[in-house]
Amino acid sequence: MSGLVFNKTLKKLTWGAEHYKAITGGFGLGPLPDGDYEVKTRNVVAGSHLASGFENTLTGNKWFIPIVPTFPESRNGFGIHPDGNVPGTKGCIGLQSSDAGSFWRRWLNTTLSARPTQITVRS
Amino acid sequence: MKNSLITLIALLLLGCGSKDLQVKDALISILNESTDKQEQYKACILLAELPADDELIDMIDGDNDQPNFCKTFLLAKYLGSQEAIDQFISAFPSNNQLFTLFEKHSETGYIFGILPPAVKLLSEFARDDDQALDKLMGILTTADGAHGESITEVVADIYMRMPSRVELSFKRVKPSESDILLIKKISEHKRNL
Repeated sequence: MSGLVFNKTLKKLTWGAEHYKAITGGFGLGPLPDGDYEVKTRNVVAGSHLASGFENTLTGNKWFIPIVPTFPESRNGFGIHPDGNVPGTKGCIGLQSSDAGSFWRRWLNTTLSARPTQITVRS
Repeated sequence: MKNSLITLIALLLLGCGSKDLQVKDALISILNESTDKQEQYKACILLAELPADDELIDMIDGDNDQPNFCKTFLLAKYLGSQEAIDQFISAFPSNNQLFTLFEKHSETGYIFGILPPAVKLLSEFARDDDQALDKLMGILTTADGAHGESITEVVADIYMRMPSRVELSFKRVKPSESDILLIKKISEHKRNL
C-alpha cells in the first residue's frame, strides 16, 4: 500500500507512480496546511446528494474522501474531492475533472485494505 | 455501548415495528446517560430519523436532562412549529461550540453526509426564515473545508432564487467580501447549468 503526497506548489497529487492535477485553497481560510494526514478510507461520502462543489463535471460523480491532520491543527473538514463548480476550495484538495475521474476509478478498483491511509501535504 | 448502537441501527434498517419502543428507549438512554460524547451525538442524529409520534415527542420534550441543543434540534425536526424552530435557531451553537459540532460530526464518520444534520435542518429553515438565514450566514466564518464549501453552496442556491433577501442578510451579518464573491459566483454557475 502506498501513501499519497500532495505538492501544493506543483499542484500535483501523487499516488505511487501516478500523478493527478489538483489544487487547494483560494477561498475561506486558505489552502490545506502542510503536514501528515490520516486518510479516512472507511468514511468516504459519495452520491448525488452532495453539493456541486464535489462534482466531477465530466462524469457527474460526486464524492468526498475525508482526511484528518495527525498534528495539532485548529481547522477541520478537510478532504479530497473533485473541484466542482467554481475553481478553488476552502482548504480541501480539489482534483481537476479528468484527473478526478482517473483517481476515483483507481480508488474504486483498489480494495479497502489497500487504499492509502496516509497523505503528506507539502509546499 | 458501541455494540448496542450497531444493534439499534440494524433494527432501524429492518423496519422492525415491534421494536420501535425499544429503539426509542435505548437511543434516549444513550443520549441521556452515555458519558461518550460521540455516542450521544450518534444517538441524537439517529433519533432525528425516527418517525415522530406523540410518545417520542413527549419523551424528548419532557426530559430536562437531555443536552439542550439536541433537544431543540429534535423538537424542531419533529414538530416544525414556529416556536420549536425559533428555539432551535436561538440555541444554535456558534464559535467554539460550532467548531465542536463540526469536529464531532467528522469524528463520527460523516453520518448522513458532509454537513451535520442540524446544519442541514437550519439550511431548510433558511429558505424562508430570515433568522435562520442569518445564522447560516454567520456559520460561514467558522465552517472550514468541506463544511464551509457545502454551506456556501446552500447560501448560493438561496441567492439564485431570492437575491434581494440574501443581500439583506449580507448587510446584517457582514460575511467576508471573499465569501460574498464566492456565493455570487457559485449562484451564477448554478444558474447557467
